[in-house]
Amino acid sequence: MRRTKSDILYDIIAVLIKNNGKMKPTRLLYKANLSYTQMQEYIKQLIEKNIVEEEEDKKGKKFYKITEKGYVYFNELKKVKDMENALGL
Amino acid sequence: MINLNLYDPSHYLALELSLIFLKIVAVLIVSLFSYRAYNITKEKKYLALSTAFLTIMFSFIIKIVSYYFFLKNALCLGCIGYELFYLFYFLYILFYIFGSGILVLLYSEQNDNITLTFLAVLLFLISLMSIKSFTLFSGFEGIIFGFITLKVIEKYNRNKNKNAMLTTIGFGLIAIAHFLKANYIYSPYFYLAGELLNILGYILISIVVFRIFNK
Repeated sequence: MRRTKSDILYDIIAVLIKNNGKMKPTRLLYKANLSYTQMQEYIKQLIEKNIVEEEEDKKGKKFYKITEKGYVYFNELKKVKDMENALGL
Repeated sequence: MINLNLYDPSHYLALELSLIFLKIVAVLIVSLFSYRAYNITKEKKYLALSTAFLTIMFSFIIKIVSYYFFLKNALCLGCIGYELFYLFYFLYILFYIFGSGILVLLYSEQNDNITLTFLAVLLFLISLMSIKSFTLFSGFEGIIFGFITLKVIEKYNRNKNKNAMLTTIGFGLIAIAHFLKANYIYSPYFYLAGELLNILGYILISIVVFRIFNK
């Protein structure tokens, strides 16, 4: 079944939370089952909304980290998903 | 015990009006939480859901206005009243049919322009005919909510979720309620039973949505 926009956002944040709130792009791409273009598009949105932030480790390698706002947003998304299942949408 | 003298208009209207007020609250809750879901996800389906329930809520408000003109005319012979009653009653039917029409589009996942135009014309024609036949209006609404119930059952069969079961019952009750109301010519008790099941259905759906967002 085709994932909706909110399904993809939910999956990205869920994967990040499962991995202590941070993850490298390639691993996130694989774990959240995304194409490179999809990941670029959704991560951009999440960064703009201050839900995820981009940081660099000591070796200068990029990783994504979930923010405090991100945890709140994830809870809200979870409720929306519950509502979607309850109403059969 | 309540004396259900359905032939007494003032008593009956008072009973129905209190049920309509409850329905307004229930439908408003679903509409507001759907709008909240739209704000979180920006997905159009939640906006459509919110609009559908808001339209249904407006139809209930318009029904109250129509009853006001009915009562006004009943108390003052020769006053302008029935024309306004019929006008507002038609608007009630129109809004209710369009609200439930949006729900059908949402559940059938149809959104091309031809289907939308065809459905809009069909709904308008049925609204026009419904002003002459309450049975047609109720029967049509019964079919609409029956269709939605089947769609929710499909989803319930996939995830066996308790909330989905309650919503299925809710939509199912609304469908049965409309079929009962379609038989009001045989006995006014069909209408009353229909109204009670109708309110129960809307309350059930609103409780499910309210509980989800207030966990």
